[in-house]
Amino acid sequence: MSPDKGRYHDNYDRIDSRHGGFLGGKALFRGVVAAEDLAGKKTQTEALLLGFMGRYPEPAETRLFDALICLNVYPDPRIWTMRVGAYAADGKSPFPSAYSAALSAFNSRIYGTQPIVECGHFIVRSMEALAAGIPLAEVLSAERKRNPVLPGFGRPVAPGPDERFTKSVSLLEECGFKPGPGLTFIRETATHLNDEKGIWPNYAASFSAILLDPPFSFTVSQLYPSAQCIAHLPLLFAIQDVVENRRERNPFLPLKVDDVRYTGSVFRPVPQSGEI
Amino acid sequence: MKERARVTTAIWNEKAADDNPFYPRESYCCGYDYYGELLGRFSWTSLLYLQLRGELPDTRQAGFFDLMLSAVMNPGPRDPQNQSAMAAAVGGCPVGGSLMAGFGTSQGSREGGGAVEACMAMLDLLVAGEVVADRALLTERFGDGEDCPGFGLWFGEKDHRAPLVGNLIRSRGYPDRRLSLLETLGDDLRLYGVFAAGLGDLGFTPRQGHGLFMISGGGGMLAFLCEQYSVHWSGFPHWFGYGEYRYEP
Repeated sequence: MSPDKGRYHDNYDRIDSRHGGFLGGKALFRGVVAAEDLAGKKTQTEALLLGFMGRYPEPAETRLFDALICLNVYPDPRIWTMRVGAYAADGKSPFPSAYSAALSAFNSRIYGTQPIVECGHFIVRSMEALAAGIPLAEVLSAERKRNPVLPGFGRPVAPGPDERFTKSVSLLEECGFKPGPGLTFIRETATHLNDEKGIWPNYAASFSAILLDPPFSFTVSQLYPSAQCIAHLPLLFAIQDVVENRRERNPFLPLKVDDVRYTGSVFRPVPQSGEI
Repeated sequence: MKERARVTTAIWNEKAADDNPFYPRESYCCGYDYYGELLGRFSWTSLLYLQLRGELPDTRQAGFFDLMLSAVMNPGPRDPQNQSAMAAAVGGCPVGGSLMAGFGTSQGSREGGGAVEACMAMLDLLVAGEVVADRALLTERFGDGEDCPGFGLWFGEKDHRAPLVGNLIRSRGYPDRRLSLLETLGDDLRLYGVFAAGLGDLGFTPRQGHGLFMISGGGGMLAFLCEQYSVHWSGFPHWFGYGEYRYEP
């Protein structure tokens, strides 16, 4: 039997989990019993970090992760992902579907989770290159050939420093942690880019660096779910905003016909030899 | 009957290869050899009909079904479902996620799949004589706080597309029992109402109608969202700095 066929046989009727399940009459999660060890004893953020790290977090770790969540609670339906949720809510899609729609759109290149994950890859790649003795300028030059817009740098909606970057860095220190290697690299890169191009780091840079550095030491693959947990609240509230304000049936952000600039073919008759 | 069946379906039947129980050597769709006989002889629309209704459509049914699906294929770039898909794509969300953004928007009970489902359920009961053809009562029971399903104004005007499609249905001699029923309830019929009536007359269930409305709209959605990948994010309407934002906590 080929290894590929064998994989199907080996996994037939079998599920492997490192996270938990309802087993032996108990809801288990990362080695603890949810009803006995978590409920009423731990906060949601502590449960989240238990899931990501496989251990209970220290109070300072919980405070820092919690602070990152709070730093992102601003529902603004002008931002694309929240606009999607608002449109769905306005059309009376079920709440979970509107949320799902917004979450799908949240996986965007210019905002949301992609920049955090891409910045994580950028940090890991660059630090490997720096460890191999390649100068920072060369590392950044190579990265910019790969992608002219470095993930974690620049901000579409407002010029100047991203307040979430500066605040998240100061929160790190307030919680008693020193900037780790990832954040140090981001700061050096920021200095370099700001001097050269006037480009500032954004939330994605500090968030991914903080999550990759100690004390969290997440892997890049953990950045997607952790970033989702940190930043998903505004989507919920952008949807709820529309639901609560639907009383008067005001349509959400309607466009006029002339708001659309058409660039296609001019009017032409349908060919006589049509399909039907 | 297989002894340890995990999945029950009347739509798809696979025959496993002798040496690999996971590999489908043959695939039958509603009894027909899908890759050996159906494929290449029937249109996508007819094969969709087969999977939902269990039988291949005759020429008339296929034409009617195709007309209904085509009627709701694209509500235009300003429609919320397309705006959602486009908003996702212009920000660099992958195609699948952008489609999901659009589909998440197109299933609502206000002019979406949910509204089609409600209209079809209402029509089924009307045809069965289980409810009275009274618009006020029907609105209260099926309207989810909106107009009677299938009715209402479109951007504040009567939906001119509805009678156009209704005329096409009749000019081709397609069944119009449910369409006629709707017409007795008011002259502000919406296009999705005609769609719901048509699908009901073709024998589809309300849930199938809900999904077919979404799937058909997915065609236009895909075209619009793919177009957005070549547009800069600042070229999309209502981005930051555009218009008025009223915040009253």
